[in-house]
Formats: sequence, C-alpha cells, structure tokens
Amino acid sequence: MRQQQVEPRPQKRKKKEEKKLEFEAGKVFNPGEVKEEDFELDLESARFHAQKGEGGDRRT
Amino acid sequence: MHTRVQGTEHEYTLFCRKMGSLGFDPHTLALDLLRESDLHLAGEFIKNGSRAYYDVGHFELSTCEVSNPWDLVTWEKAGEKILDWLRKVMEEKYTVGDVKIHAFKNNTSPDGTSYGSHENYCVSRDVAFPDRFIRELVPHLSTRIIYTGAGDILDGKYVLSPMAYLTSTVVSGETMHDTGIVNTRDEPHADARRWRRLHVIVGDALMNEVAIMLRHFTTSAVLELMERDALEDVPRLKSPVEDLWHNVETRNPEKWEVHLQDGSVVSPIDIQRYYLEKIETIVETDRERRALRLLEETIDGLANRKSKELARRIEWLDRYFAIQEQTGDRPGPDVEMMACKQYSEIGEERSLFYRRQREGLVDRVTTDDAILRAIQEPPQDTRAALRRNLCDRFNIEMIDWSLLVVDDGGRRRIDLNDPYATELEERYAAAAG
Repeated sequence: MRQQQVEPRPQKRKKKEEKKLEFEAGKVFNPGEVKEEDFELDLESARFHAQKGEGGDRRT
Repeated sequence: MHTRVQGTEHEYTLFCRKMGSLGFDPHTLALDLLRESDLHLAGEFIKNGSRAYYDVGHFELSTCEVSNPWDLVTWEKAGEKILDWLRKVMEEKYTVGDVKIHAFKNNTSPDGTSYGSHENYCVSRDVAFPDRFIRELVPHLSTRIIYTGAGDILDGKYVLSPMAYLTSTVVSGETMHDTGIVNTRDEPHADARRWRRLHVIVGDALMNEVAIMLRHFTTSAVLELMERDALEDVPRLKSPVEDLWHNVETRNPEKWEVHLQDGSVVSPIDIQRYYLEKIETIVETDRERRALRLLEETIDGLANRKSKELARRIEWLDRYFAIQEQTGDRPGPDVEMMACKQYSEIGEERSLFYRRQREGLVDRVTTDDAILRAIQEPPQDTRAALRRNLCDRFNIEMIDWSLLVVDDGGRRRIDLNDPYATELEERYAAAAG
C-alpha cells in the first residue's frame, strides 16, 4: 500500500455542514422512457459548421 | 500489466430551448446545486473524488484518479449520472410547464461549438517527451479511431470521430484550436520529477462502456510498452494527420489508408494488429486477457466488415445504425441531425443510446449498482481515497488534486504528490488522527 508523507500536527474536529439537496438515485436509474416528440432540439443551431483540421469553432 | 493512474475530463453541454439571453445559465446553476448537495466534498471536489467546475461555457467534470480502465468506465458513468440528476432537479424546480433541459455527452454542441473530452494518463518521466511519443504513440492515437470513434455529423458528413476530424497537427500545446495528436500540456498534479500527466485530447466523448474500456486498455498498454522500451520496431508514419483526415470520413474499412515512411500504404487495422501482438506479451490477469481477446475480435471484425456485430461495442457504427433506424420512413438531414444528437443525451428517458442499451443492442462493462456506489465513493486504490479521507477528518481551507490546506488548529499544508498513495505514511498517520 502506497503512503504519502506529511508533517505531524494536532487535529481539530471537522465542522458538520448542512446540505440542502440530497442525491436521489431513482431519478436517474431506469427512469422510464418518454415519447420522441419530447426531444426539442433547435435544429437550425444544431448544424455544426467547422473546417476539417481547424480544431473547432469554439465560441465563448 | 502495471497499475496506471488515469482519468477523463468531459465538457458537458446543457441546452434548454426556452433559455434566452435573459435566462439562467444551466451550467452554472448545476454547479451551484452540486455544491449545495450531499455529494459535495470541498471546493470543486465531490465525494467520489471527481472535480466539477465551469469551463468555457460548459459544465466540466474530471473523474477522480482511477487505477485501471474498468474503474474508469464506472467513475465516468457516475459523473454522467450526477449531471443527469442535477438536470432533473433544474427541470423540476426552475423551469415552467413542459420545458426540458437536455444534457449531451458529445463533442459538438447544439449551439455550433466544439468542445473537448480529454484522457489523462500518469506516465514515467523517463520516456523522452515528445520525441518517443511522436514515434511510438502517434501511430496508435491516429489509428485507434476505427474502434474508439464516437461518430458525428460535421459539415453535413458522417465522420467516425469528431475530435480526429478537427485535429490540426501532430504536436501542439493548444486545446481549443490548432489541436495536435500529441498535446504538450505539462501539469502533472503529482511529483513532476517522477511523473508526467499525458493529456490526450484527440479522443471523443463516448457513451458505450466497452468502447471506453477498450480505448483505455489499449492506450494504457501502449504506454507501458513504451516504458519497457518494447516499441523500437513500431511502424513509422509518413503523414498521420492527413491519414486521419482521410480515414475519419471513410466508413468502408477497405478504403482506409496509412502511409508509411518507406513508401508503403497499409491499413489502420494493420497498425492496430502490430500493437495487439505487443500487448499480448504484457497481459497477466484474466480480465486483461479478456480485454485483449475483445480487442482482437474487434480488429478482426473490422477487417471482415462485421459491422452489425461490432456495433455492440463500436460507437461510430452503432450511432450510424441508430440514425438509419430513426430516419427510416422520414429521411432528411434534419431528422438525421436530431437522431445524431439525441443518441448522446445522458438522460435515459430520451437518449437513443440508452434506449439501445435497454434493448440489449450494446454491450456493457460495469453495472448500475457499481455506478451507484461510485457516485458516492472514490476508488480505494488511488490518491482519491486519501483525499476523501482527509476531507472527512479536517476542515478544508484549500483543495486541489495534489494539495490540501487544512485547518487543524493552525494552517497545515499536506502535499499529495503520489497519485498512487492511499494512506499517510505510518509514522505520521497517528499524529494526523
């Protein structure tokens, strides 16, 4: 087992933080399927126009 | 094969049709929500050891340090699920009516930009950079696209690999333009005297678990062969970028070409066969032997044009078939583009990829149970476990991959320069608590 060297010091107890949002696995695993019509991508802007070898037109 | 610390970085794009210039940015909102959630650890890090941050208009997630290609798949998929959960929270809490937020794991976004998906491999400083990487790794990186390409529609054409299509040159330090097959960024996040973090930017964002595993298995193996000085006889390429540009637009394996310095023309399949034979000499475990066999079957299948069978594990093939099926009775470029993008949605309820996975059309490497565990916990065999352990015990003032500043009554700096270290050195551990 690999070990990382550190300098020894006394410890201070960790403060407990309140978290507002709890992860819900049920939302993302096997959530069921919706109709294709629900996919509403804007096709006009989806057409990607790049030139080969240009590394992308990465606008910010 | 040796254990090799590795990871991936993905820039995910979130898209909402109703999101105008006055609307909220779902990328920043998702990060705010993540930091308020029980998955948050400290700073930009989350409990499973990964790091989530805002980068050039995207939600970027870097996996924690993992020690092998199989764990890489599990923790990369955990990242997808975390973002998908945030997307659904935003849909429920912050949109009105039936407005949907879409999240994509691909390399070209609906707003017309390209963005990255990067691999990182911890490699020895003893291998001369970039010379030996150009000679020994470039033939691999420029030909692996035949089984690691994600497929996409660019400039009205179906291409095997969007990132290969956009690559400009052999070597470059750039990540946003003029990108190279070998990237020279040198941020080791570790003891720089011993390790380099090889930053591979020529790979695609992949949905298919087997494709992700094979990409990391073969690339890790090639790096080990380089460290063992076992690739002296590697084929010398004459024009890797030009070959990449040709092959990326060619779906027929019989028309793929790689020009060698001796004037001969071979196939990328031949180049991958060279590496396959070399990898055979270093595999040790049953799992590695199975991966090698899978690679062999994949290369043979491409040579024999078994495209339907290979689509189970080659994403550019499966995406192509998915587009064909989706556009069956209503062909046209709009429907093709729609299907191409919808394939990469990470939400299982709309994603074409996940629909095909549910139907058993694609193979898997990991399980939902393993992914669920990986959402909450780091792997136990890398520095990610030590970092989590220290964060659980101390109040954190500052955190990065290889550095923690903790408040233990004073201000204490802990360097984590060994990405393989899972514990503090014994003589110090007691004092650290």
